[in-house]
Amino acid sequence: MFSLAATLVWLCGCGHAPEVPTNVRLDEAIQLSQQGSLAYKRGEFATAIGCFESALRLDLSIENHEGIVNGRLNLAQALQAAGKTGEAQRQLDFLLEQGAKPISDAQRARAAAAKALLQLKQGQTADAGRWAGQARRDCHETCPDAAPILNIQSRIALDRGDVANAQSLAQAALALLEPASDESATSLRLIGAALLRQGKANDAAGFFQRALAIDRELGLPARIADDLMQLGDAHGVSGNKGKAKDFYRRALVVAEAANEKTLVKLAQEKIAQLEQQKER
Amino acid sequence: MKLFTDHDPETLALRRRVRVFLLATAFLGIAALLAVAARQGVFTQTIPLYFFAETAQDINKGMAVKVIGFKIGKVEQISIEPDNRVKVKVGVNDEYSRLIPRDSTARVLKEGLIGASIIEIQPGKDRSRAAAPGDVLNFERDTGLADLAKRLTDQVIPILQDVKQITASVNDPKGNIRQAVSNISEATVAIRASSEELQQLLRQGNEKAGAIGGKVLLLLDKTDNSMAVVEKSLQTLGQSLPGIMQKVDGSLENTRQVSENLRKISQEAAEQAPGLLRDGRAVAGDAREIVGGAKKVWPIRNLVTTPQSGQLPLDSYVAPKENAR
Repeated sequence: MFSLAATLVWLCGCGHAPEVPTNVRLDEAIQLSQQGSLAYKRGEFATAIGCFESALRLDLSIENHEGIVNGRLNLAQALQAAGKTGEAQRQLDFLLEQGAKPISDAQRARAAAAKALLQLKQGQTADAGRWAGQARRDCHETCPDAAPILNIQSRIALDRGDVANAQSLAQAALALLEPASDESATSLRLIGAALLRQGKANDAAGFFQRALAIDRELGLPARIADDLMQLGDAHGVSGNKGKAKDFYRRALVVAEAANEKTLVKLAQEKIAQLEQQKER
Repeated sequence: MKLFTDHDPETLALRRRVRVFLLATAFLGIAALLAVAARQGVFTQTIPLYFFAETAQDINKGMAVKVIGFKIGKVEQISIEPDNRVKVKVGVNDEYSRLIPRDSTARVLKEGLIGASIIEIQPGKDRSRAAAPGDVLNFERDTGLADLAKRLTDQVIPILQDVKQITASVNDPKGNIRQAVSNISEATVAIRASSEELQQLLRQGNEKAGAIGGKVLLLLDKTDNSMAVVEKSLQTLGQSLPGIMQKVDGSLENTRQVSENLRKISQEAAEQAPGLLRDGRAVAGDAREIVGGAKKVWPIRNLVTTPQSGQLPLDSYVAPKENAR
């Protein structure tokens, strides 16, 4: 019986599909790209940049167009996360400039959305709106980045003070997303922020709590601190100063532990403001 | 149908065999379980002993505890005390506890040069008092390979520095050795010149002596004697100088050989290092090929997903800016 089973296994092993010739450079580029993605997820942006650059060089050397486009998009995202916005812009311009090799609509939408994010982070809301609009136009039914693009547009609307539009865009994004993803937490935070601007502090706090639960589940310290800050804001608006201070303190602890200097400063300012109000 | 099978002798015999087989299997299974449990020390009575270490480095739960090379127990628990010391609980086979006096010392050491770490209990001198459950043993850490290497490095570095200084001193044109050689060389030239001048003076003296007469001859004799002494001194100096020069040459030659050896060693290292790197890369390449090959073989290829160069998910999160709220 055992011999029969062993023979069957051996025969199955012999009958594999004809071997496909191996493209060593392509394999290496794919491996480097995967290593870069892992490093990016771990927050090791310098390593991620190194891997993506090496993968891009290999893809360029064998004219692997798909790999080149993905490589530039990934590299731009890693550069942006590392604060190298100029270099990130350059990679995106390679893809978007006139005369470059044509890319798919979804890829163009992705590149335009990345440009919008870069402009948004630099405070250039008008340019960000233009790029986000282009991204939305290029993002058709099968486009995988529809929800993040809606979130970007929601953020732009919020910055412009168009609160109702910001809320509806974030809600549209949330409807497209899986419930426990980091992107859905971003949608929830945007809805909460829009509600808070409308003075609906209690409703806003509910959305911030949901975002906090997701971010804690995913272990994203900067976003946890951000959620706690927003919860502090919500409780501050609803007049519960003590609870607001508790949230700011929690945000401060998380931000300090994660070495998020901007959030540390913001939390300290909020705590100081509340203490000054108490003294008066 | 059941009636037939109940009275069929073959069926009854088959049933009996099946029962016997099942009973034997169950018996063997239980025996195997008991054997494994006994092997794991479930039925062995142990006594707990403790020791405190500065760090938990090389100490692991389950590691063997030995006395004179025999395993007598294992590490059962490692915990941190409030004063940051590490408390280690070892379970010692009860029957061997008499071999461990209370003043025994536990040591972490490696079996062989690079073997596994173990806890070796070195029995104390007070044999009259065996360790009791809960007793605390002394603890010390054996010198590891890293420590030995560090000590060796500490000893070799000053020697290398001395060699470096000597080499630098030999090569320095203003150094003592080069100066001494230069001085000796200059002195040799000066002595040769003096000798020639003296010989000339002698010749002139001889010429004048013939004209001046016997008194002068006497004086010349004396001068000759003096010259003989000078010549003798020069000869002595001439005999000694080659020896001194030979010694200096020998020293310089030794130093040159040391420098040459060092240069050869460096050169060999420089030649071998790229080779080693190449070999390492080749090994890594081979390993990649083997893994790549394995991935193509059934059934592994069904378990491994084909790698694809994907995009990072677009992240629309914008971190708050200062003074943003």
